[in-house]
Amino acid sequence: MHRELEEIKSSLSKLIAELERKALEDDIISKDEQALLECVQRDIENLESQLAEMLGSSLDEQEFRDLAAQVLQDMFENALRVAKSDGKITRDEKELIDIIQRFSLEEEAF
Amino acid sequence: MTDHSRVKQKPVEQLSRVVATRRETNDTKTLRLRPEIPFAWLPGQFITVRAIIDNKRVTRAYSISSSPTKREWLEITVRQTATPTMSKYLNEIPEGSELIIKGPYGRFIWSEEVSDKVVLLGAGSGITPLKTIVEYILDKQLRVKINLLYSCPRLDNVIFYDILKKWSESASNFEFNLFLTQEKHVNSENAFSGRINRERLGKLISDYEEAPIYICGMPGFVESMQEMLSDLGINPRLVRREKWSG
Ligand SMILES: Cc1cc2nc3c(=O)[nH]c(=O)nc-3n(C[C@H](O)[C@H](O)[C@H](O)COP(=O)(O)OP(=O)(O)OC[C@H]3O[C@@H](n4cnc5c(N)ncnc54)[C@H](O)[C@@H]3O)c2cc1C
Repeated sequence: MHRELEEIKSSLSKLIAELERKALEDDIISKDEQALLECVQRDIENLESQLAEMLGSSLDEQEFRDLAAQVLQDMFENALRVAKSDGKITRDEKELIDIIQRFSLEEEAF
Repeated sequence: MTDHSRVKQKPVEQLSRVVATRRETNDTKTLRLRPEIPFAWLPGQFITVRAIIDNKRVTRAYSISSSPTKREWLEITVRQTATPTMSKYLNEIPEGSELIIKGPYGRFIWSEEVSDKVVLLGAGSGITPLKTIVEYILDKQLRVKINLLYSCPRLDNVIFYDILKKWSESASNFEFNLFLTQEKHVNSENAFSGRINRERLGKLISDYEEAPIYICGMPGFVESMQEMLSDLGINPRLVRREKWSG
């Protein structure tokens, strides 16, 4: 497998940038959006080291994709949990969640 | 080396019950899991474990530490890290609990077609897939000479000490060399004070020419072993490695 950690980092940075851009579209980052962004940011730091670890282990392409999909799904579910924590998902939160979901389901996320 | 893709199983996600737990050292526990759908794995492979911890979904990888010759259950051995999430959860999980697992994964695999000799280099929790390889060879009574070099800080950190010692006394094809990096005095045959260094490594594996070499442990350990093997003129194609930071 020839994937580089730098490619992964760059994909994840793009995801964060896209989320921030979306959150700032109305010029205000609400408390809900802030909580969600912080959760995703923390998860992404962990995700990055997990994926780095996977690159160090002996996986074939298919296995790497399968494992990456599992940890991306964790990230999505954790974000959803934060969004739902006050009983309702606002429109702003929904837009961010959609971006995370799209990313986690992308075949070529990395 | 053999192409293992023929025999590899597709990973299956499923529930498994923790049917027994066993403390190995003060920070390491073995969990015996009974999957709902028994599956085959190859010595050296790993599974992922998923759980909800502090209201977050967490997935981590763990090598299977029991031999595929015992198919009705499988074991994982988890060392609790300094800033743990899953490793603490698994060290504290009660018997009877359920875990979501998926596997098997990985190409850090030993198979009997590979050779009649094998060298295993491990440190800390990196012993887990190596112990499986040893157990598999001994269980199947294969005529394969095994040399395990295992490095830990102190004797009380050595995972599987009793069983490895017992096997090395009862099986003539299994050589167990223990390196205790923080013990000043070691008074046992095949146990050394200090790290695995190039001289010791060269001497201990001199009878294992052309044998595949499996290295598993923290990245620093794996890289330094690789460097020493390269200094010793070992063909890199013989070397397989698995590393994690736990
Ligand atoms: C193929 C494979 C097999 C493994 N087998 C075993 C095993 O048999 N036994 C065992 O005890 N462990 C094993 N591990 C390690 C295990 O997956 C976890 O990383 C470990 O239990 C710590 O998890 P945690 O949730 O408690 O810690 P956390 O710190 O919450 O999470 C650990 C995650 O963060 C990353 N991380 C943590 N600290 C650092 C750091 N300093 N630098 C970079 N990244 C860091 C790791 O990559 C890991 O993915 C294996 C890992 C892999 C990849």
